[in-house]
Amino acid sequence: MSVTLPDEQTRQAAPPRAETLLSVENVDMVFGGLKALNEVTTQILHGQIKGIIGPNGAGKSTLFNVVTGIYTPTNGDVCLNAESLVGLKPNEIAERGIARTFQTIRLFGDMSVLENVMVGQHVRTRTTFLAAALRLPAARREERAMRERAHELLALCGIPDKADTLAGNLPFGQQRIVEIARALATDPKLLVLDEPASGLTGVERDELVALIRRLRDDGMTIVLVEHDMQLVMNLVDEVLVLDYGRAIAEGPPDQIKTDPAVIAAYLGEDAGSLV
Amino acid sequence: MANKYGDVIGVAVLAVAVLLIGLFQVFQPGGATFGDLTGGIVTFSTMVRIGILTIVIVGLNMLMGYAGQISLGQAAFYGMGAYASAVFSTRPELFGLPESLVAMWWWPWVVILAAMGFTGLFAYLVGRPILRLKGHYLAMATLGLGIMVYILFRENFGFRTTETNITGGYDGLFDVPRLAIGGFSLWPVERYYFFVWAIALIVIVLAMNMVKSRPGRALRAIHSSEIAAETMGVDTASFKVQVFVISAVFASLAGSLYAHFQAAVSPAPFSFEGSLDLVVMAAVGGMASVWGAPFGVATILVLEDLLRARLDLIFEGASGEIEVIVFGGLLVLIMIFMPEGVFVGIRNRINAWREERAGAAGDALPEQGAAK
Amino acid sequence: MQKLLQSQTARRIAQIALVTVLVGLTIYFAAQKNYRPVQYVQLALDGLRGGTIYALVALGFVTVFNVTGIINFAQGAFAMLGAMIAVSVNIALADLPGVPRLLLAGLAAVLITTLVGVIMERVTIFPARDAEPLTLIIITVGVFIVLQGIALLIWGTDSYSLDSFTTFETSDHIIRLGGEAEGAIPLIIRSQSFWIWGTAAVLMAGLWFFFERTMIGRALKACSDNRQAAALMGISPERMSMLSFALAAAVGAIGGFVLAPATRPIYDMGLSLGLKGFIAAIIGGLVNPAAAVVGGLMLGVIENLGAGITRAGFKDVIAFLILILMLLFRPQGLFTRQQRVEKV
Repeated sequence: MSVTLPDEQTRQAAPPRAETLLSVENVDMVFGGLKALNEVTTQILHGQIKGIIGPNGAGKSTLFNVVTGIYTPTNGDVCLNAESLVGLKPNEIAERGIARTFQTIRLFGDMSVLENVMVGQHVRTRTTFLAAALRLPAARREERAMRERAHELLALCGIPDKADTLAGNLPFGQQRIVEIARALATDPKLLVLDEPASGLTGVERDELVALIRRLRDDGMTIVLVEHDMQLVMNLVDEVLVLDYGRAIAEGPPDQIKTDPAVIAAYLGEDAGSLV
Repeated sequence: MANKYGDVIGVAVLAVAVLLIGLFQVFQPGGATFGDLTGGIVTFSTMVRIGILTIVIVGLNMLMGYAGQISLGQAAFYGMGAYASAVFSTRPELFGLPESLVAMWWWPWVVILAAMGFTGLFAYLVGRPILRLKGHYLAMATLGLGIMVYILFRENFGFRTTETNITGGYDGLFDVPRLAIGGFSLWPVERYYFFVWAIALIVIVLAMNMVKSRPGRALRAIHSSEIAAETMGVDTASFKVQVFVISAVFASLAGSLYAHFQAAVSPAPFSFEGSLDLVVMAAVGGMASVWGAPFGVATILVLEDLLRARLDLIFEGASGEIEVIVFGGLLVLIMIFMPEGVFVGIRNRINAWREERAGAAGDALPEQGAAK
Repeated sequence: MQKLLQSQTARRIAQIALVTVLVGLTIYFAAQKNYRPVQYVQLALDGLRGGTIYALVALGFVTVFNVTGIINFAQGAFAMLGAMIAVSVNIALADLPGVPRLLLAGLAAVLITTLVGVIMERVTIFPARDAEPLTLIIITVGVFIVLQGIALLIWGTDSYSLDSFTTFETSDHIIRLGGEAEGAIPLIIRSQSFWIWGTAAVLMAGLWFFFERTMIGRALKACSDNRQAAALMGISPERMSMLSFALAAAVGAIGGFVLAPATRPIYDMGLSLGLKGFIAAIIGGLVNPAAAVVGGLMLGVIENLGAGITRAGFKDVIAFLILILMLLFRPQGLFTRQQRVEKV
């Protein structure tokens, strides 16, 4: 990969704008004749927070599943830093720098919070079964470093005292935070949050917003799907609106709020929530 | 949570117990053997078999308890080690190797290592496709694999035993030599006992190190949620195959030790029933616990001896069949009431009880909890 | 995209290579044996008889799986119990004339086995209905061990025989086709085979009627389509679970009963029957009763032909080879095209 000839093809594949981190190009996702995604195209820039909204069944989670490799798109391309992710397994995509949380929490419930975060570091570490079995010095050093880093991440996320609690025993809101800590442990370039605020109390929600802001200030790029319209509009730099698997509008929150196509799409559901 | 030194203490306690039993048998204080100690019910050779099977169950535990991947054909790998040792250490000429190897003390050791390598390779090759399957499908595929390997042993790989006798068919093979290091034989049984348990303790320590580290966490993550593990960057396919191979290599090692212990092999222990016995032992000990392994094996083997020795007092004329019913029933009961295993179940309950007590104490002294 | 195509091509090549090797081996072994066509027909016919029993056991798997989502490992033990109980009753009623004796034997076999199925569901499955699949698999395995152990306790390791339904004696009526000419080999069919085929056909028709035309059968079917919806309609999934086990046990017992005169029933016959029935169900896709029946017949014929051209001891190897190939390449069954996408 280090030496590539600057021929016609590679020049065309180069990113259109230098600051694009993730580009989704004409992605279709078809399930048994049903088009869950229909020619969706969008870009996410470095350091941006992007919100994805849309009525239920609009294809938001499907888009996330395509981006993180759980689904392989029927057509189209997904590129991280101009490198295609299509056909890669989820773990390979995590390795390239995309980490996510889930709409329905998928923590490792019978492992401690610290261990959950350490699983997140899996992809950035290399201790093998053999090295671990023999407790080689390198393995012990790495284990120590992982532990320290995991504690740091828990502190960053505001739950340093929960390290030894079983993840399954935490209250719901903190489970969402642990999922974010675990995702951060993969050292991602792009953080993908699937409805991070759903089911949270007011206080927990404020903590979440503060955490996301902190991460943004540290330079993290974030995409989030969220139903809480107020949270989205206050937090994000740009909004993508999906409806029936199509991208019907994209732009800054103020522009989206007044977009007639968006209002029309939401009228059927709950137009009032659109601020 | 768990005591930091708990595992170290555990190994030490197990090692001391092993040592005491062994020394008792060697020195026979007051002329009593280990068997006499148990009223002749549990024999010393049972203690050797517990050590051998512990090695298998430690591996099976990593596969089933930690990674959550079922194997109903584990006896196949156990059998591969046993047959490899039996065949190659008695008749290397069948495979074009010089017959004189039989006389060399180091030859059986080479065979043991080669068998581990071959069994591991075999597990890798079949594991790659098979471990893509989940739940019932994986159970049935491993079961099918186990039965196929068993039939190949039993049917002498399809050769007529009169022409090319590799496995000895139904009868099996005899006169497997004892192990020795140079001129020092690892026999009589007391020596072999210490040797087997040394290996078993090493395997336990190795496994414990593995499950407490990065790869071990990956296995538990796979068990908990395969999709979450994968999106967190765990190459689930690769780790499942790796733990499958590890469990097969342990089983093969134990199989070789078994062959040199019995001095004979026959197909029966490696049948489907054999695989089920292994699952019962793993289940009794507790799935997600390296410690459960020796506990589970010991419980089952001692119970077996006990039933054999005392059953006729309860049911006149009854023998093996009651044993089978008891083990089957035990398995069902454990799975219904303590699916995490007896050893682990009891440990968890004790921990919960302790925490409850600690919690009650903490309520009484709130400022101490806050200071921390 | 390219990588995806590569892996698919690689899979396809592997499949073709495998099929080629298997076909090649078959031809090689067959050529060595140098059978006449009539002998192949004979092997296939015998296989069809065994396959019918596999089909009945497979129906039990499918019924329980559809309603509860459980693979009931003890399914083969139901067939074993059916055969063994019939044998015992037949011996106990030796004074009675043939027809009532066999009828009573069959009735007792089916009733007792059904009761065993119900008890199994109530005692072991019901309390653990929310456990993870690994646990449930091991539970049914445990039940299988217990049932087989009880059979060993009652009947010992001897093999028994049940009177043929045609002659009311242990020796069966044999039909010879052809073979009058010099050196020709006749085709041999035992009359019990017709009993097996006939019973299976009647049973399948009855099951079809039950599921399609009766209230309770439809309730069972509704339960297998969508448990929650069925519960909302007032159908109790728990009762349906029990019913599915009863049905599976009864069908298995009938299979064991009609098979008994054609084989020598023994306490451990359940393992092989259960596994083969499962393979048949897998060939059929596990959810489709009709496809499971076809799967059973196919399995019976293929394994018997395979054993015929290699050696008898390899019958199970061939069956399990089919199982593993099916699981690897067509886990959705032979007759289902669309592979369901796993929803996240």
